[in-house]
Amino acid sequence: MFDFEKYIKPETIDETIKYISENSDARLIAGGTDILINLKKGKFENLTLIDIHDIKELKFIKIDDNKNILIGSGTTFLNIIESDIIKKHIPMLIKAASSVGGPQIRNIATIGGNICNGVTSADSASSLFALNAVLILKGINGKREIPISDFYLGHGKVDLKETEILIGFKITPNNYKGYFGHYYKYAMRNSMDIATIGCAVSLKINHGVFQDYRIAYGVAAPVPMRCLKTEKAVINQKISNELLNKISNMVEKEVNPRTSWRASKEFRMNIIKELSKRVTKKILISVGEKI
Amino acid sequence: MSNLNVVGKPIPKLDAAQKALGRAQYIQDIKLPEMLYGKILYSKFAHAKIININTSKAEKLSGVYAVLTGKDVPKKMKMGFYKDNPPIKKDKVCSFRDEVAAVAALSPEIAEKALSLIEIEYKELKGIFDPEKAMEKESPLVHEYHKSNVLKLPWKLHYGDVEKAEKESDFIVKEKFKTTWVTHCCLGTSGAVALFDSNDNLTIHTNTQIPSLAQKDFLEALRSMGLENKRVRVIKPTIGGGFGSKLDTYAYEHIAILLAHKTRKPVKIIFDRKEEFKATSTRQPAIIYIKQGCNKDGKLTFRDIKMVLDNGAYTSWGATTPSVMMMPITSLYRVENVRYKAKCVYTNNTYSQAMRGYGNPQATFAIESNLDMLAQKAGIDRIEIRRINQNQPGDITPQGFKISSCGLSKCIDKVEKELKKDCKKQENVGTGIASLIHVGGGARIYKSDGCGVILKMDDYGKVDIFTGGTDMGQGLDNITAQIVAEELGLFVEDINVVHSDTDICPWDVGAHASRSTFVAGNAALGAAQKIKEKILKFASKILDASIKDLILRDRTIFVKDNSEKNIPPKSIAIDKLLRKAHFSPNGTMLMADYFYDPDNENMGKDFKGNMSVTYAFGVHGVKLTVDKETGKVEILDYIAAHDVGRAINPLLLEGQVYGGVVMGLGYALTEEVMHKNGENMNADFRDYKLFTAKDAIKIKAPVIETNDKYGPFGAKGIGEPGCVPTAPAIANAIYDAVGVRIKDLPITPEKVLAALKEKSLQE
Repeated sequence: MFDFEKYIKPETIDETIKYISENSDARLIAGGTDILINLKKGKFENLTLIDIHDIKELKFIKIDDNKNILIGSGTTFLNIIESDIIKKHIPMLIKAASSVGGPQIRNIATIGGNICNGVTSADSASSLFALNAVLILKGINGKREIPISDFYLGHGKVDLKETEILIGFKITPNNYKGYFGHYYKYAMRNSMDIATIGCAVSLKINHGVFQDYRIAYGVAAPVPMRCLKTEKAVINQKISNELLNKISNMVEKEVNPRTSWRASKEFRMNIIKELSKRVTKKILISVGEKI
Repeated sequence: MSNLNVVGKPIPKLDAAQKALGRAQYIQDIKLPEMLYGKILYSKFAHAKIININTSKAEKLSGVYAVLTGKDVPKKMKMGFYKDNPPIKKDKVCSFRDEVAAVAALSPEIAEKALSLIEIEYKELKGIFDPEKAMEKESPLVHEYHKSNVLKLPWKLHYGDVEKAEKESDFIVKEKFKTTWVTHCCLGTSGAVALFDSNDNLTIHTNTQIPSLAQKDFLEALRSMGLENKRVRVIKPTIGGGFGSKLDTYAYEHIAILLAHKTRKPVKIIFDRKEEFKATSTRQPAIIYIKQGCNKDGKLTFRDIKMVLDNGAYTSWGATTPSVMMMPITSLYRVENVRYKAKCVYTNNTYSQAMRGYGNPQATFAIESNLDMLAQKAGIDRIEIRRINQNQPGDITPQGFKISSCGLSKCIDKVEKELKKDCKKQENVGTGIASLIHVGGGARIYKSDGCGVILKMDDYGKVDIFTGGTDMGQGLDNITAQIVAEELGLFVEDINVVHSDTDICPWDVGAHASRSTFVAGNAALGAAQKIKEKILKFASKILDASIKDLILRDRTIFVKDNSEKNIPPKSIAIDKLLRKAHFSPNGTMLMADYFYDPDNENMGKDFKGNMSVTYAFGVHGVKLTVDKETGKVEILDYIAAHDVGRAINPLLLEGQVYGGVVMGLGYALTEEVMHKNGENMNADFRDYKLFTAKDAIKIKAPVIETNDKYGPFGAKGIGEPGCVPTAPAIANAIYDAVGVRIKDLPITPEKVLAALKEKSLQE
């Protein structure tokens, strides 16, 4: 049923890197909730599966001395949902993690796998975009860091070199301290569904004025994306319904949803516009702003 | 009726623990010595000629025992009542689910590998996917030999005078509605294991709702193979959901038979989920043109309906759903003048099957949506117009249905009361109701609507019941056990229900038409009464009392206490009595058989006839809110009031209603088998939007008991009704909430939003 040639289960990151550089057809498997489906569909043949799901080095949620929040790529969505650090500092990621699949999926699927799979509908991606998350990668040539926005190259394509492994995510304090965020998944069902549109907003507010504003979408383009022009136009503006309408009209010009048999471009656009207002408003109300 | 001890009690399903512990034996669990695994290769095109098939590589693969193509199938082996469907196609494929080859191998993996080695050369033909276009003269023919894409079926009736009534009507609403493909989503996927003995008698283990009719089909299959006068034994494993999907026999069963015969070994074919979605049949989609009229007082004057049904490439029971659609069309509410015509049209799409409600949900969606529109046009309250026209006990409908008991009025009252509890009108919040009529006392579709039961008692007061009725998860075993336990003064623990094997169990027409509680229930009751008579006769001798003074209760026969209070009544335990009967000179053991065939009528040429002994009614009411910016519908309250005659088991009854409503909600809001030029696009649970536990809602299911005089302990059928009026109730509530009328299912947010946009453009 699953067409793969070899299965290897390394115990450390370095061991993993060794195996992937030795096997040209190596493919990493963490939770397996994406790759097993693709294997079943016959999308790959003769793979060498390298199972990193139980590598302890990849499972962590911590704050380092510089107040960076670090999340290991092998962290499951359930780990994220149950994390006090995430709950305290970036609760929007809990929202995102809770909207993934169903309980069985969240028990096993990892945030690293979600991002490396490279699809625009990944529930954790838009929040990580809004948080300016930095990806920490390690390969035979050592470590490198890359902002998440540079990691996505195209539909299903990410900047993960053939001999690299994603170690985890870094969210620096200037990207979460003082910010309030929210993620909303618009889907046809309340669970076990793929997002029609996912929208993450993270913002900083001072005396009714936006100090910073970030809005990110999933499924609004071939890869997850931020609406940078809209964001720029919001900063230093006062909270108002007019501004919300302006946001909604501005994001329309930045996104590029497509028609599929799942939903039409027009419909997705409607949802994109509406969610910009709704998610922003929800955050504002939650922090006691009047609107 | 008030002194019931077992009937009316919420006894959990007898096999609940077995299922929860994973011990129930499904078709997947069956493994026989030397068993091979069969796999089926399907078409790569919706419509194509088969130019050449090369199986030589597959045949050479180690572990492959047989490879079949269309040329290996006997000419006369055709499936379905229209006999247009060979289990493997030979010269031409007419849909993506067409079987083109099959293999039997040592393992499923080898079988799968062998399929990939079969080389087929096709010549693609122009496909036709729209049934209305398929009716046009220049359209390509799906089956050239049939000369037309329109099936020769008799779906046409006219009672009263529709044209005259239309002229005399004060208000008329004409509309078009559309329903699409949805599928049963049984958790247990399809499968069969076939084997022959050395005399060419067939045993087939298969998921079926119709063991006796399946046996007949398979006997016919054997005859087509030149095997005359053979025996067919159909064994049902535990079935993981039926909902109508197992009401016919299928290619995989016939292929398993052919492979087993060729290899002389047991052959097992099991569908995976993708195959279950792609290669099993859906609910019948329908394009519905409806006209209804009423006079100034709101009295319905006529109902005129035309339908075009996408038959798909082959014919199964989906094409006969008009026979059941006739029921709501002629008999939901009092309407004297009715006309109905349906055309089933071949296309290169998938073909349809029976599915819970058998056409009734489609017809009721159109009738009840249209009725709300008519009420609005006439300026009459939506609930009031239903009251004005409601069916009443004693009615004979235009189709000749004799309404014995009827709780429709009570159901309307109940739903209205619940919906009006919080009557403050809120923005974007609306309510909707819709009613249903369905067969509730069997349905004489075949010459017999009967069910046989054999009952025996052992020396310990235990009963074995061999019933023709099929438990496919709905809980017929419980119903049977409760009825027999009640009648014989026993507990359900004393009863063992066997329904699994045509070698052991008597004939039954099948678990369809919500008939099992009524028909199999009456059959079990009949057998129990015969045994009871024997028990009482024997007890009267032993206890020296007259039969009419004897009572069976708590595993004991008591003499009614007519004497002084302090003396305990004379009694004997049933097991003791049975032993006395057995172990004495000229001893006897208690056995009884009973065949119950309800007193209903086959429909005549004009489709008139009292199809069912009694009819089930119900009303669904919903309160919901529509998010005008995203098109999302959120259900706030749902009431499903059903006239069930009597609840033999309230727990299972509620389960049937809950399950029906959730299935109906999926039909109304989310579910659709997506086809693109005949190809199934969403063959998994991610993309086929079946409601999940998180989408399910709280449902109030008030039970209206009308104690039908023909039902076992007063019960009517309730298997299907739960999903019948859900979609129109939702559509009516959406209109009430935001003023848009969605006429094609499912009512997706995209459709709601598009309709809202169009409305705002018009305003």
